[in-house]
Amino acid sequence: MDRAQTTAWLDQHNIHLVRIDGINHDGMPIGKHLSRDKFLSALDHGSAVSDIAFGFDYAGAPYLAWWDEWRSVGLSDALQVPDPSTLALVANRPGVAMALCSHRLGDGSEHPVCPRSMLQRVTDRLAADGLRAVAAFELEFLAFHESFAEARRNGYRTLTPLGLPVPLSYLSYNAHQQAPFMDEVLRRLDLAGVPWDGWNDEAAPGQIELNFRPADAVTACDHLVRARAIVRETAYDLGYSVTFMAKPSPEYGNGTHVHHSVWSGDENLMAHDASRMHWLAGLMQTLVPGVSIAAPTINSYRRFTAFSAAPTHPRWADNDKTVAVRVLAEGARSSRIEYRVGAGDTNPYYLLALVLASGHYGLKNQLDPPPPSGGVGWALPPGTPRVPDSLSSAVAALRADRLLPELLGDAFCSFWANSREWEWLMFNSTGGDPLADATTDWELNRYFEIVG
Amino acid sequence: MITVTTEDDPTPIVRVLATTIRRSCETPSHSRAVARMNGTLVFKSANDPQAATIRFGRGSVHLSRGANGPAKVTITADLALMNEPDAPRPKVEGAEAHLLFALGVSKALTPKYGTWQEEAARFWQHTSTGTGMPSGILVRCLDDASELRLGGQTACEVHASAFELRNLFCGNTTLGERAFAGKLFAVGPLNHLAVLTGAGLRYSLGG
Repeated sequence: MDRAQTTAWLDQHNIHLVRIDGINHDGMPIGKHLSRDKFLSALDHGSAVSDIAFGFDYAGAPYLAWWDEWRSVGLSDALQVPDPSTLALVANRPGVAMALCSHRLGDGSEHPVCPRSMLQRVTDRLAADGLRAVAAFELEFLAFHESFAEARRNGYRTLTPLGLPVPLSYLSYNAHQQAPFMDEVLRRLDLAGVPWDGWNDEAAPGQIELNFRPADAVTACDHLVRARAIVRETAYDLGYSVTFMAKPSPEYGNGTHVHHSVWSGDENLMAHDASRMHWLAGLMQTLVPGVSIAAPTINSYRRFTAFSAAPTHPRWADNDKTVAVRVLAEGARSSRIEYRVGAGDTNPYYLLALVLASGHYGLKNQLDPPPPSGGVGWALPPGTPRVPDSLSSAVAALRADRLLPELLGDAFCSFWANSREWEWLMFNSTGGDPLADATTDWELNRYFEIVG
Repeated sequence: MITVTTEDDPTPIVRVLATTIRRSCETPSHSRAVARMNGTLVFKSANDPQAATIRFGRGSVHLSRGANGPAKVTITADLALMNEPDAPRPKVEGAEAHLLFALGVSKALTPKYGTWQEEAARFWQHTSTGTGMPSGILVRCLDDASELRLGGQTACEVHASAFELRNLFCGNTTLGERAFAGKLFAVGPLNHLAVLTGAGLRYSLGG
């Protein structure tokens, strides 16, 4: 949308206030409410936020164990630059709109770790080779009858799942109980222009999966983060609570699976064996060192357990949900690859940047993938390579890797490894129990309301 | 020669204790004492779940997470206060029944640190080439106004008591944490505060 179109849109909807949201490194929407005039000004000049927006952890503690060169020593401003094409109405707030932003440094230059910008750079590289990616996320979350305040008072435990307290999927009676909540979610998604395909009750008590129509990579991520916000806000408004935590309880966890295909003009490269295999090879090459991007919190790793619909080994297979990467060769239009490593708490922009940059690398270098998984991808014998089973081991794999800094930038990989190491340190030194074999109070208190 | 090993993917407390034991064993008398030790020590935090199990095997030392006995000696320490001047003494169980082992433990966990100046020089030698480290640091002791210059052109300053400086440069505390607590003062840009804090953390964790 150009400025004239943006102004016309604001006029048409009588907008006096615009909520701008930029996604930070932890996937949290951060931003301000701007007057209409300030919003229009921000289109050109950005809206200022302290650059510490990328300098604190999930609990608001500042990262004080390293320094990134792009930071400002005076904690001065970074900029949020709204994308007017993401303007949408906010439900139940007449005259209020919302827009997603990318971040820039205070001098207007590129922000090395802005998630949206990073994904844009990856898609720009694809475009330079005449390629474009199409993606669709699956959003999973758990919903409870307790409000957020009540859940907080209960320590986020013994909550009442929305629906039946049994691990069944696709049960219409279960969905019937979830429908009043989801009807309002869908209404708000429609108002926000997020094109959804459908939803169903999922495997864990209170779990819901929401699916979206495929879109270009950045738009697909925009849809996901918008949907997460709408789900959370709807729950808040209606007196429920939701969480996107990877594994808040011993029941099935929340994942963020992403289906994607790559096109050259009108030709789907995933429909061709050779290009599909080269692309796949790139994904497999970076799968292990990239796990901390797909699984960014301490809690993420509790999801990687056998027979839980999450991968435990870095394997791929044709149409097999027991492995990390599922290949779907389904003809000219529908062939695609599903990357199943992402946890419910992942930052989708970073995740898709990892996936697309890796696949692109595999395609360009005509890499060959490892052999497919020869059976169930779980309960494999000791000694079979596994995905990293802790945040610290995932960080170690990232630090040891030479390819990911090439694909995603030294600045990002350094920042990301440091920030995940910080998370590990906080867990161990501020009350977390590394020996606990179930989700700890530390994780629930830190992540339940915030992640995703 | 003492070999100190840890489990795969060690926790912070395991890494800190391993670093401490390695440092202790740089002193010959401590090393000889550790070489005679055979048995298990459990070290626990008094205020959170952090714990480590240290198995001494007459010259080999292996550390892992958790409190996995049976242990000859168990130490429970208040990790939040242990570097304060009036730190409460750790609770020690089993010392009477295993006196020689307990004496070895006290040597293993208590390196012979030098003066704050000597420790600062050692710290600088280990950390000065790290990413973002300042070109030089002026360290000023508030007890007697003595100073030490580390490196080249001074880019930042650290001011504290001799007690605090020694703890800082031994890796027992970090600059950020002590500055927040008002026990240490710094002059210089925020990036140096952050990088020095990180350098201290890595130093205590063994690199």
